Amino acid sequence: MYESNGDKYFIVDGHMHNWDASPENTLNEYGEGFIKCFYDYHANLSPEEYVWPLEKYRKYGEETLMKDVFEDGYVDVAIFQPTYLTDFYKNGFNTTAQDAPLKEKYPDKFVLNTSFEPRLGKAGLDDFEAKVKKHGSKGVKLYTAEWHGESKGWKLTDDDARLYLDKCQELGVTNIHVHKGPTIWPLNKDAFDVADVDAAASEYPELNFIVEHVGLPRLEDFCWIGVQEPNVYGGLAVAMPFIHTRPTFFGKMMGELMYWLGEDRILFGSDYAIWHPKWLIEQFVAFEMPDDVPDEIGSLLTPEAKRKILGLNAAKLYDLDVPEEMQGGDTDVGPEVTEKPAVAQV
Amino acid sequence: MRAAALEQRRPGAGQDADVYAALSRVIDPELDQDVVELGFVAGVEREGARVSVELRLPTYWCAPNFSWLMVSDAREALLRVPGVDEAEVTLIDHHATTEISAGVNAGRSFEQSFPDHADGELGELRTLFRRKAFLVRQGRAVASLERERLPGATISDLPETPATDAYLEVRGELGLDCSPGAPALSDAAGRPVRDVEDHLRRVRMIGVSLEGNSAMCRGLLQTRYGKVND
Repeated sequence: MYESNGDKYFIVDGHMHNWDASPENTLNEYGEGFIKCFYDYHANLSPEEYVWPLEKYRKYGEETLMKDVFEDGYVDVAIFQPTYLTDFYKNGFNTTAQDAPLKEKYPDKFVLNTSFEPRLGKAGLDDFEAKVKKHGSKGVKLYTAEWHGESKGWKLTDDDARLYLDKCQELGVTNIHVHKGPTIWPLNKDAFDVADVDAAASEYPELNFIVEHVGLPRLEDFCWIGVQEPNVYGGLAVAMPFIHTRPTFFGKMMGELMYWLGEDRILFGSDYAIWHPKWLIEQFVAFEMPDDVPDEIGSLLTPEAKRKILGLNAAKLYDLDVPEEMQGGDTDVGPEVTEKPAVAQV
Repeated sequence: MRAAALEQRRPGAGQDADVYAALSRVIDPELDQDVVELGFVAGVEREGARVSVELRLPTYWCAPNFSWLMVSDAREALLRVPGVDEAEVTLIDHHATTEISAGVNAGRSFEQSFPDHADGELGELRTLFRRKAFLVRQGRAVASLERERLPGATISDLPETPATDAYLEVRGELGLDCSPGAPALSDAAGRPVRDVEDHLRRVRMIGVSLEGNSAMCRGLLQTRYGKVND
């Protein structure tokens, strides 16, 4: 819970990790390149006093995590979004199994999402089902650029991915978090394109598709599909920390998201330990739209919208109990879903 | 292309300045900014007719397809510099550095360099991003015109600004009509705009996206390599 000027905010961190990129767990140069790239994101966009040394960043462990996220960071419920990367890290970077002990120890504090690997085909379905049942997961985190043997990525529209989305539907795994990355097949096409999320969202209307990082670096493509598909959401991890270094850009981006998707379909996420939730939440609640953001979009990020983004929207997707005093007022005030705009076919 | 470049060569010309001038015509397709200004040129070495350039990018994981386009455009640009007849461009600190640098310098195609991972070349990808750049540049070129004038505005109504020049440049690249009487606003295929307000909103949105990506890439490059020209 975060309190400011007498207002109380229920906080759901929609995207966080408990990773292990220690030298002992790192398999190859790709794993090393991955954690260093993560570190640059952390160092580039964090306020100076929040920047860790690389050694701590590789593996921070339970005590640090609990203090940062819940004690100092105001978070009521945090959602683990696993990132397996088993081709880069011996025991994986951040698997459901790695996160599970914390969920068992603090059942009310965590939502434990899992993942599936479509390239295992039918052979992996039973395993996936067992994982979902064991951990009670209501969501999956998918990283389409993940390497698997010879493959350097996949799409939600692949036949094998469909097998798993069918299974998600059957098991009540309703929240599909998708993160696009730099590699995919075929490599000559834009791997960040979210058109496959668009197609899957149309095909599976009962599932919610949360595009992580609001589609960055393809914010525009994400907004076009968000306009069209009512079951597409945006996660703010990676987009949020611009509030500190580039407040004008952050204001414009939030304005656009409010304009195209509306306040009911955007979710807060720190991407901890890339960023610390404490400063993100403090700055977001205090944020005032810079003057050079056009009024048409600048006026839309209201206090009520912030309340929804910080926790109420995710609470709805994951059936979390929100204390009465933090429930806020109206709901469902987002814009109407419309036809896909012609300009999307640039 | 290579033959034409050879003909342009003037003996005795060519210092590092020529090399940088050539590289400043190489665009990061996602950001629509040149690689010199972005700080992507890590080093230039010139010995007579031979030039070697190192390029660096904001992350180890920058997408291989866009990275390829910059490396290969850089090599082509260098081979057009008067007095240069051998050019080598190396991408450093990147997960696909082997495939990209070796492939480009050996004159192989993208598909040949990633035989199991690609099903074609990069022309379509390049055009897609030139079209995004077109819309963003158009938005900048018309920014100072009054909204009421926009529906009928033509190229001749655009102010004489660098933004207009940049817009006309990409219009030409895409093969669209640049004559004074052509409509100032169009979609990226040259079709007229029916709803100006709606069109401008979408153009604005793409511009915001580009601004964010540029901020992210510049920031990450600086974190990775220290302060570069801002």
